[in-house]
Amino acid sequence: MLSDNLYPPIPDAVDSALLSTRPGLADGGPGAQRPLLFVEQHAVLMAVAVALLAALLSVVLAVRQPWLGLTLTMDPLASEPTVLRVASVAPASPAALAGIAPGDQVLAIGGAGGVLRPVSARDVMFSEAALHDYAQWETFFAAQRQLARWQSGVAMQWQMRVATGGQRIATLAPAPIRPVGSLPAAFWLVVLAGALAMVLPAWAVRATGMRAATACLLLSGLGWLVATVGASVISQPVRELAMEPELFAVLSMAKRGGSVLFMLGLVGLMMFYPTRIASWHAMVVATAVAVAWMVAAFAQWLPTPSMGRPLLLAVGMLVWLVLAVRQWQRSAGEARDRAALRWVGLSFLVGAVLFLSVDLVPWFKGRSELLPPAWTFVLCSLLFASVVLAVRRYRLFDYDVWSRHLLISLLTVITLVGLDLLLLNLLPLNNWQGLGISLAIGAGLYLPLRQWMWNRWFGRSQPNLRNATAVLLTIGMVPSSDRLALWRRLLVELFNTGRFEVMDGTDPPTPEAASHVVLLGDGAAMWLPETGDLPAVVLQRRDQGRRLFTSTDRRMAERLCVLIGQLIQSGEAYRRGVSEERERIADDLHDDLGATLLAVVHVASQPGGSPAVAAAARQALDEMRSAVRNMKARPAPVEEMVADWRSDTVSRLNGAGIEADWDAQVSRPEALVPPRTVHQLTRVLREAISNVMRHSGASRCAVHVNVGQGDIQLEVEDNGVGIDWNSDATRRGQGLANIERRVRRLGGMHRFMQGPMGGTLLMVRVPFEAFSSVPGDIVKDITK
Amino acid sequence: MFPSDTLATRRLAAASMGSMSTTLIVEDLPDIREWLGEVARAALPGTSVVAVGRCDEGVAVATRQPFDYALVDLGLPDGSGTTVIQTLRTHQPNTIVVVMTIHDDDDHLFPALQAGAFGYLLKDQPREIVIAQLRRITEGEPPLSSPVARRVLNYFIAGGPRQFGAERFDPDAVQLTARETEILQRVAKGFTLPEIATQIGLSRHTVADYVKQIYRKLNVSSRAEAALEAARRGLVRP
Repeated sequence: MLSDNLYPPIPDAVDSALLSTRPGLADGGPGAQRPLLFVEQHAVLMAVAVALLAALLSVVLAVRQPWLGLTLTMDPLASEPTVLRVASVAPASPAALAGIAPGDQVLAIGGAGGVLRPVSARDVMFSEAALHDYAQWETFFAAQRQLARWQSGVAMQWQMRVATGGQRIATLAPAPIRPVGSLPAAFWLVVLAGALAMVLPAWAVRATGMRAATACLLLSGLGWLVATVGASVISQPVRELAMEPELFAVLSMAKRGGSVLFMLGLVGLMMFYPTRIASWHAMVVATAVAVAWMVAAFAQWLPTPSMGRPLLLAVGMLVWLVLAVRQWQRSAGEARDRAALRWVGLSFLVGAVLFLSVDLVPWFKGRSELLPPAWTFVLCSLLFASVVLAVRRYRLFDYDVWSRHLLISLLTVITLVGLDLLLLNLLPLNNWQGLGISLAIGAGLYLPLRQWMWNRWFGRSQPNLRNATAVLLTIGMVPSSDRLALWRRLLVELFNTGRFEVMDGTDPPTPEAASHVVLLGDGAAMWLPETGDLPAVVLQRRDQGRRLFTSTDRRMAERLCVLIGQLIQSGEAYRRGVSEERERIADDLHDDLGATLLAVVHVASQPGGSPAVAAAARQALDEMRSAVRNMKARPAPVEEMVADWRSDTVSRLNGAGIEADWDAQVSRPEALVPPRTVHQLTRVLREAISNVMRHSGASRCAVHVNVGQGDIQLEVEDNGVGIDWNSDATRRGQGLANIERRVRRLGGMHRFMQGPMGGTLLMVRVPFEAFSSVPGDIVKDITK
Repeated sequence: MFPSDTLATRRLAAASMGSMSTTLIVEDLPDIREWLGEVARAALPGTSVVAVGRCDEGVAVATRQPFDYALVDLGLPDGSGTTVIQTLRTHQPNTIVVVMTIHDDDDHLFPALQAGAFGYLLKDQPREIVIAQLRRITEGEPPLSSPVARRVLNYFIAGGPRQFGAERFDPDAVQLTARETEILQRVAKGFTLPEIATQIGLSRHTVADYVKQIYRKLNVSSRAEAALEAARRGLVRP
């Protein structure tokens, strides 16, 4: 028989914390939540205020620059990479009024009436990584100072090579103030990115209070906001041509210093999240190092500019990775921490790639960035947002699925970039040809790579319904006592879970859980509601604790619950139908056939009637009763069957004045005997006893019953005259033939012989397989 | 509440006063009805028989006229004989009711026993055997088969008496005593009543009294259960 102990017992009960709907703690640490402070409660409001102030500052700084109304670009198609070209001209702007058109090449710029100064992209475009030493830095600022002076004058002269060929000098009168409407979309994107980075950590603080991890996130957000203020104003095309070096320097420091703070916050996060692996002293030291380093960089004490922020950020990333690996080791067996770590780690890596591509390394020959800088800011902010969400444990259970998508995308990008670089270096191709071929190859690789990753990383853990179908269908057909074991087996195999708890009598953790599958504890556990007559259950330790339950798992479990409910319902309806039909037939037999047979008994018992007919009719009634009982019967335990045999046999023999000697050996009293076996054997025994009573003339009758592991043995022996096989009565009688027929039907054998008591000994032996409602191969499967 | 010597008392009273006992027979087949009348007269000498063929007639007679014995068939054309048994039990608690049936399965018998029957006889048995068994029942030895004993045990263990409140029914009246439970368990294991008497060292008569008590408790418990169920459904105000 099936029972729960087919599975190893599960010692500890479901963690009661899982059943509460409290949000996860930001630090992943234990302990109850303390009441939030006023500052924490209003953190979001304050962050919004700070972000608005920063945005206002950006706008004011941008608007106070003299306005030209054009966008300059470094021409990617030109043979000389420092060629400066007009990319676009705003309508009705000073540049448009001066007759400057997109496509014109800028040759030289000068003030009103003065000498023109040749300009190249080097004088206008600013790339920290492109500056190899402080001399280049000074040259750039000298050029900017000159150009800015002209730009703030009443009029300036631009010597252009027009697109159609030939040169001309345009006289341009810059507007003293820039109209807010002329600020490009890129500006607003960067401002928005900064605001997002500021507000999200505040949201985390609002939810879980100021903890080490949320404080670090807040530091990062603030740093990123400061960086975006600087970047939004000094980046092209907001800075159309030039800016006062003093202001430029301050904003550049804001941008560089802000990004260092951002990195510092992320390093801090890895010290304290998901588990605290460093003391706050480490964070203080890290901050001191970063600040000192940046002061040295700003004061130009370092040998080269690239030893300032670029090196510091590289070191920061390295430290971050080391901390992340340490966190990974510490979180073994903690599926929730690992899911969060995977997600944070991947977000960080993607962000780092983007950041490097735009800010630190000119990846491509001639091209300085992978994406427009504004978009890079937005993407970095979004990735930062995802880190905040992970710390906040928002939908933690779905991170594994998201991680998978992110990782595949990241690998694809890296492959593309790598191919692009390789092709550009090996083959005489220009940028666009190289990129095109890379994209073609990358697209061809993308799908197989994706599939491979999918199978490699997550393939095993995908629930496979195919193998479960047999069990699923069986659950509907077995009696309710066997269902739970099968349900358990199905779920444990499907989700490869380490723990299965029956939540009988436990209130659903949420109102929704009364009828739906819900994820508990950020996906550490999954609650399945009552379905059919199965109790609610909680699964834990997905993939033996390596992963969390995901939304996909939840949806599949939900479908399973509905399906099982329907299967159980239809199985019950079927069984009810069968049992109702049997009852109807049984009642018909009783009422109609029974009454008729009774009438026969009666007529034949009248004086002058035939006692033989009466006896036959009585026998028929007896058979009918037995058949009806069998028809209605459920499988009976061995002990009940044997008890009924004893009661019937002993009272009949005693009633006939025969001494009864009963002996029964039962090896498995609880085992269920199929109704058919009970019926046939009962008839055999009754027939045998009837023979003893009617024909043997015995004074004593011994009955031995032995129910063994694989068979049932019956022995009926009397001390009477024995069977005369040659008499007419014996040959005519149906009794012996009936015994033979019934025993054969059960696949058994019988033998009549002379017994030690001198009379007849009947030995019957039939095979006996305990009744089970579950098909044999599934039983074998379960007990394996 | 239930003097265990009710049956004997009534029989003695009937005999000493020289008055005739009365027997109600409810059976739809005319031949069998007549035959049951003969059987009753043979088993209960001097009894006067009132025989009806329908359930409603049985109920009507049972409310009108006192009976000492009743032989009731279960499968009647207009309903189940259980209704007649219930009526008799309500109006004349001392009537000894015996079910005359061709059904010996506990599904059919148990409701009749709950309704207040004191035993059952199979109608297709030879006349002499029926007479002998009827005599034994009326003399205070009701039969009890192992399936019925299991049903009674299950009823008292799993359902019945535990469900109703103590303020209206004396819980002791509907709870089986240890001795009664022991006898039921032995019957359920297939031992006959005489065997059990020997096993636990009691007289056959005492064991029979316990069995009668079990039948009564089954009836009381069932009626209490029915009353409570009716009250629960608002049919009767408690």
